[in-house]
Order: sequence, then C-alpha cells, then structure tokens
Amino acid sequence: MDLAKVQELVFEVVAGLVADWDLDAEIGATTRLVANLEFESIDIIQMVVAFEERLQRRNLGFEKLLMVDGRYVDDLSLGQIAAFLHQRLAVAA
Amino acid sequence: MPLAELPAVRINYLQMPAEDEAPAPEDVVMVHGLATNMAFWYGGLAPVLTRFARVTIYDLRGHGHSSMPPSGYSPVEMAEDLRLLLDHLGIESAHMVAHSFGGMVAVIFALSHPERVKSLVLADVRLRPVQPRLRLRQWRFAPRWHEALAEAGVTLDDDHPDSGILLLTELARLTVERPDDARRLNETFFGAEGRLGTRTARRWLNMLETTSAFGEITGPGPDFHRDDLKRLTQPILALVGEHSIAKASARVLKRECPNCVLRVIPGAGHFFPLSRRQLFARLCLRFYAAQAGWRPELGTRH
Repeated sequence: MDLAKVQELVFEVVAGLVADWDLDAEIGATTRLVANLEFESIDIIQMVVAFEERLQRRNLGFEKLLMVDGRYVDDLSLGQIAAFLHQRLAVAA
Repeated sequence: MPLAELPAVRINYLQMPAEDEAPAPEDVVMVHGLATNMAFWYGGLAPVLTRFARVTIYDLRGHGHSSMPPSGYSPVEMAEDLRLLLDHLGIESAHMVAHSFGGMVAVIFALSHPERVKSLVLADVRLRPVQPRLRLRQWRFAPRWHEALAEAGVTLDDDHPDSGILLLTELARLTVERPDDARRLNETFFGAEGRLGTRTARRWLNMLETTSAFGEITGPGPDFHRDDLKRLTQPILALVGEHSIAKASARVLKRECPNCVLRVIPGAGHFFPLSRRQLFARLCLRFYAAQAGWRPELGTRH
C-alpha cells in the first residue's frame, strides 16, 4: 500500500473516531492527536484497534511509535502515524 | 473495540494475544483503579506480558467505554462483573494484575472464586477492611498538597475517611473547569503521566453525580474480613510505593497471605505502574518467572 493510500486510511479512521466529538479541527497530515483532536490514551487504543481491524493485521507494533524511553510521547501528527504504518506494512510485505 | 453485553452492564474490553500464539496460552487479566480506564495498562505492563500470556484489559463499569448503570459500583458487584466477563470470554482461570481500587475487586473475586485465580499482582491497593479510613491529613505529604490545592483555590476535607476519592474528584472538576491549573496540580501530585484527560474527568464527575457510585464505592462494607486474607493461597506480589498511603494494607497482605511477597518501590507514590513502568514490569516478570512453568525471560513456557 503506498503512502497516499495509508494516509487516506489514517484520515478516514481518525475522522470516524472523532465524528461525534463536536470538534472544529480539520483532518490532515499536520493534525495532532492531542493538541487538535483532544485524544486521550483510551482513544489511542481505539485508533490502534481500528487500524488492526481495517488492515486485518494484529501487533502492528504501535508501542514503538507511542512509547519513547518507557513513556508515552506527548503528541503525534496524523502524518507521523501514516508514515509509521506505511513503514510497518512495507516491512511485513 | 469489543463489548461484552452482560446482564446489567456493557463492558468494554480488549484482548491482546500472546506473542507465541500457543494453543492454550496463560491468561492475564488486568483491573484498573478509579477514574481511569484500560489505557492505564495498555502503554505499560500489558504489552510486556504478551510475551508469554494472552492479556485481557477492560473498563470497569462507569469507566472508559463501558456503560454507566445507575447502580452496582461496590467492589463486590464489580467483582461479579469480572466473573461474568471471564465467563463471556471463556477464561476459566487467570493471573490477575490490579491497581488501587481494582485490587479490592481482584481480592474479592479471588476470595469468592479461588479456583479461577492463579496469582495476584496487587499494586498499591488499599484494602478497606484493613484501612477503613484513609485520611490524607495523616499523610506526611499533606502540608505540601494543602499548599498546592490552596493556591489553586481548591478546598479539600482531608479528614474525610475517603479523602483520596474527594481529592480525585476535585482534580477532575479542576480538569474540566480550569485545565491549566489542573495540569500543574496533577503533575505535582502524580507526575506528568498520572494526569486526567478532560473526557475521563468529565465521565468520573458524571458517574458521581448521576449514579450511586460514590456511596457504593465508599460503602460501609465490610466486603471481607482481615482473616479471610489467609484463604488467599495463590502466589501474590504486593507492591507499594515508598510514599504511598496504602502501605498498611500491603504489610497486612504480607502477614496474612501465606504466599505473598512484598516489594516497596523506592521513592514512588501511588501511580508507580505509570511513573516507574520499567521497574514495575521487571518486578512482575521476576514474580512470574518464580512460578513453576513460567520462563518469561526466555519468552517461552515450559
């Protein structure tokens, strides 16, 4: 799957999650989960599970993106998430 | 995420498969504390334990994405939710890991269904029959907290027998109304990782305002007697922060339970599963390694 398609998937999944959150933020590569979409840790779980379901893959290794030195990163952009997913899918292919 | 439709409540859960995908993996079930949700475990111990076990995390009733019935929030009723969830998932027995109030749920479950609990990791658990009153005023850090709360304009009845829950509630209110003040206070008390999210805070307040949760959680009990702890013969790892107010409970667990190991986490408070993730994981792995048949360092089971 090329990067553009992965990005599209990320935007679609995230847009679905926040659909009824009453937010003004636009969904794009620079949109940040916490700063723009008010994500909390449970929302991140929901997002990861949604990716796994859409891609029919488990153990995508998201902890490598979400955790640095044993701590959650402060925030992530949708572009970073798409790039990570693209890389993981390429490795597995 | 999957939902278990139980008779009185809908429980949100997630199962993380064991890495080695053995046909009959060990099961670990993790129970979070008050005013949080399954995410408490997701970024920390849960993925570590998938090296050798299938891990189930879930939201207690009224928390996370589980439903919020008008009543049923006592630890006894939440232990029954746990039983029904395990039945729903076809888990006959499991290793339990629990933090804070989740520990009351896990202990009651283990006392009621000992055959279904292989071991217990109890992280900073206040056992109400042992510590029926938990007054923050008696805690040695109380003056520092008082000062920080007063600066934020928060008044707390620190002589209340459940002043820890009152504090949590005040922090939740502040998180919703004045997030910047709340962030500063949360970091003072719990460290950067113990802070409440706005929606989690709102949900906690909503639960207290619209259900009988507060009265049931803090209810008179007793949910069990101290002597009952002698019946917990499973291997138990009791962990407690050096600065925690739950130390008395941990000491009683060590004294009463025949197979209990007690470890004090140096320099830590109540939220060491978050603030000291790696140490917490290491202690749990060592505990499991000491149990027959578990070889987590090797990532295999024998």
